[in-house]
Amino acid sequence: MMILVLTLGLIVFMLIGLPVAMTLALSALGALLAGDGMVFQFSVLSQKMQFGLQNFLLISIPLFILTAKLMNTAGITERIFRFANTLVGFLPGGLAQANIVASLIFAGMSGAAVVDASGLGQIELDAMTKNGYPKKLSVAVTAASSTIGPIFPPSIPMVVFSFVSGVSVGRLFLGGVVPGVLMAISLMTMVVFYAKKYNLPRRQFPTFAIAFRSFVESFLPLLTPLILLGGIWLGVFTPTEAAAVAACYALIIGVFVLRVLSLKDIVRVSIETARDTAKIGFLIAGASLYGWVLMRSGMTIKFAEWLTSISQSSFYILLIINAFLLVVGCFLDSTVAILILGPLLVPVIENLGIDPVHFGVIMVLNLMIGLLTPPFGIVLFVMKEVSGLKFEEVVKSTLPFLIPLFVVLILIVIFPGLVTALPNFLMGG
Amino acid sequence: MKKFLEGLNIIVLWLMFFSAILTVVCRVFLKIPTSWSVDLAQYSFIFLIFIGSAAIMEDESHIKITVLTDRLSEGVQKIFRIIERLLMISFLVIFTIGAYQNVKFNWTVGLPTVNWLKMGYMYLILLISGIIMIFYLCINIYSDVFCKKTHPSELGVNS
Repeated sequence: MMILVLTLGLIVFMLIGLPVAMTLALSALGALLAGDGMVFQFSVLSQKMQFGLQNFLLISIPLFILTAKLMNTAGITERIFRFANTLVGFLPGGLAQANIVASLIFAGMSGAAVVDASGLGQIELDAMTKNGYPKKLSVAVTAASSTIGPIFPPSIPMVVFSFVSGVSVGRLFLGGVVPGVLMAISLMTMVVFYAKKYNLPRRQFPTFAIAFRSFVESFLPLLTPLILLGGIWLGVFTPTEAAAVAACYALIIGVFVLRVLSLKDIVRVSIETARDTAKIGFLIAGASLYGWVLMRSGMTIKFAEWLTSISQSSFYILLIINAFLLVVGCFLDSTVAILILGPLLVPVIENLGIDPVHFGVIMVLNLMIGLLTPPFGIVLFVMKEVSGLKFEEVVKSTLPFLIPLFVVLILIVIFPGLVTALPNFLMGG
Repeated sequence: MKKFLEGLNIIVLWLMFFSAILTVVCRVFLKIPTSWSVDLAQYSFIFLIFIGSAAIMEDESHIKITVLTDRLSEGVQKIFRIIERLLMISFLVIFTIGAYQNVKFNWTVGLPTVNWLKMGYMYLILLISGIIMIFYLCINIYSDVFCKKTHPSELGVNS
């Protein structure tokens, strides 16, 4: 009965438009009432909801959001784009290539695709359309490249996955490095074909003086990923401390070095960060309650038994889960999907002997592809707002760019070493 | 009230930030690990989540999926909105009663690292958050049922 209420409640409440956090909390409450009747302690609701948030790792989420927003507001993203253009602007499809490389660099400071698409994306889009690139192509490249953000470290979805699975977030971050670079390379290869088709302009090979000036201009922001990853890898900082240091660094660059961040900017960024944090955090609180009731109902065990009864092959199970996640990604936000499905899927993959770091990266990449697929691809909606194109036009132009992302997904499913080699090499395994 | 809550959240966000920075400075540079700053950061985080959630309940901007409801007529949407809010209120009432019980049980229970920081204070945050959310939801139901203006900010509750 509890399992029925948990499942039905989730579907019905979500479909009628209830906030997802409330959907999870109400379904859990319904299941508790169905299982225990009115004898359950009311105090358990607030206990489980706050207990889920008592994890120092989760504090990294607002700090990563704050870092990315400070970088965007301080105009650091513009410097990164100029640097990327100097670096690869001479390749076929120059500015489109720069768009992808800038997203990869910015991914080393931000952990969310939406922050990339809405901040850096606007700059990239303006530059490309001003230089005669077709708007639809510019939108497609910007949308597709923004999904590198949550794969290349740091990554908010990976922090959430670490929270639900107990896997080291440092290993997950390092596991995302190679797939993130592969995504950039595959998208850049795709752009070469478009460059020939549309005869896209490109800049001359930069002189040493131009390249050096551009490097100096963006040198300080470029240190952010090194501070973050280097600090975690060398064991100097925990991921949360690294996030705090990164936010502090962004603040120092913006206020004291570039002198562009005013008090008004900082207040606006703080309000936006607090709002985004509340949205994600309340979701985690609701999911904590839901996860606890899910365990009590025995659904996780039954689900694992059912899934392993389909096949004993870990590879086939992984393929089935991939297909399932791709469909889920079309409908659910990545944080929501990880919070709901993580507790169900992680025990299954652990039983099958699949490395949870490998699975974590696969799960996040699947859900990132979902950001680019209708009907709920959030990045598609952001690009519609930023570009002024119709939603259908954004969808149609972005669809071909799913191909290189699928290629990377297939590669990392078939070759786990692409994900696990780096964390195993640097952190032991 | 919303502006007051947002102002409070800004202060708490930076308190959390400085607590996290202090943890790094003390442990890495001064070689004095400080567990109280970790606890302070965690309390600030919980405050940020629950008081922040209460603040954004005013315009109901929590993450939701509206693909089905967006396709419905305005009248049906209004009915759905009222049902949603009644469901949320029913949960929040039980949640708030539970939070009150936890405040009573834990009011004098201090944290091992910071004795003056009581467990009850944290549940008090949840209690206040629950009450504010119920308040905003009631206002929003009132605005949907009795006012032509649909947004609660037009009733002046966020000033």
